[in-house]
Amino acid sequence: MKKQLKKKIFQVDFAIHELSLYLDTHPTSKKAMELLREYRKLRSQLINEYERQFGDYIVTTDDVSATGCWEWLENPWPWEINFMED
Amino acid sequence: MWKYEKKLQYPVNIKNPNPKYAQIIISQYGGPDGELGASMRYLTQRYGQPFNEVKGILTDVGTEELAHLEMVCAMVHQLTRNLSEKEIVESGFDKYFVDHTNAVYPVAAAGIPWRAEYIAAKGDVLADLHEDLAAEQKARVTYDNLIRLIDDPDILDPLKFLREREIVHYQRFGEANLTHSNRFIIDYIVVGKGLSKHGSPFEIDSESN
Ligand SMILES: [Fe+2]
Repeated sequence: MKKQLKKKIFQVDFAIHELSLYLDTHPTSKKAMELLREYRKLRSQLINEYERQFGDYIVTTDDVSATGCWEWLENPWPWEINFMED
Repeated sequence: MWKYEKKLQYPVNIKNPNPKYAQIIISQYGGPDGELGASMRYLTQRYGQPFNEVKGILTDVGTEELAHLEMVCAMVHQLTRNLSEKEIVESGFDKYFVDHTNAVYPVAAAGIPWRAEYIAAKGDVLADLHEDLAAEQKARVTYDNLIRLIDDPDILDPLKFLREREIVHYQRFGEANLTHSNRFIIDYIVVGKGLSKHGSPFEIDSESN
């Protein structure tokens, strides 16, 4: 389901962000670097999975749609109700 | 520079509008300890810092605070949607509505617009990191107070997430403070290294540290 997969990607995004903050004050932590690599790998796997099922994953203006359309505008805006459902 | 990601850091999906709750939650956008001040405080302080780890944590936490500001605005937006005129008047939301309709404008719960005096940037690693530690605790208390006053699981869920982030940021600023204040105190305040050239501790090359 789209909602579940979106949620998973956002969770991994959060883990990646949390690890970057940790690394800012523990820059020599090998364990944190290793975890960061794992989460980055997981993130690209989840995005591949999303694109296979639901089409292009467009979250930034750098994400280009294969359809040739400017899908950026069509996707739901995050502050709107039911953002996760769309 | 920054790039926008079309997502919230943590989802906000509030089924029941409630302008009374919106009026207190908005303080975490434009109030004295809100997320707008938090992001401006850290992103502004960066330029005066001599140490790379401090530049890093201020940049990355400051950026996260922008994501928090967006979550708080999303809450206010969803809580004030589809209101009838009767609901606007009866909830006391009319005083805000008359000036801003349903835009989300940075004000404190009592209606005072956001002010730059809420933040400080002293250009001194000790003074600034201590300011930041206090700021995170003040934001945490504000979330505690909101959690006390609000009784809707759709609102409490993102509020608890945001409260937790204040604690993590406090932890990270504390670590930066411990590492760098010791170095700063010994090298620049006690020994006076770096103070000799132009009487400023910031003549030092941050890369050589
Ligand atoms: Fe914070």
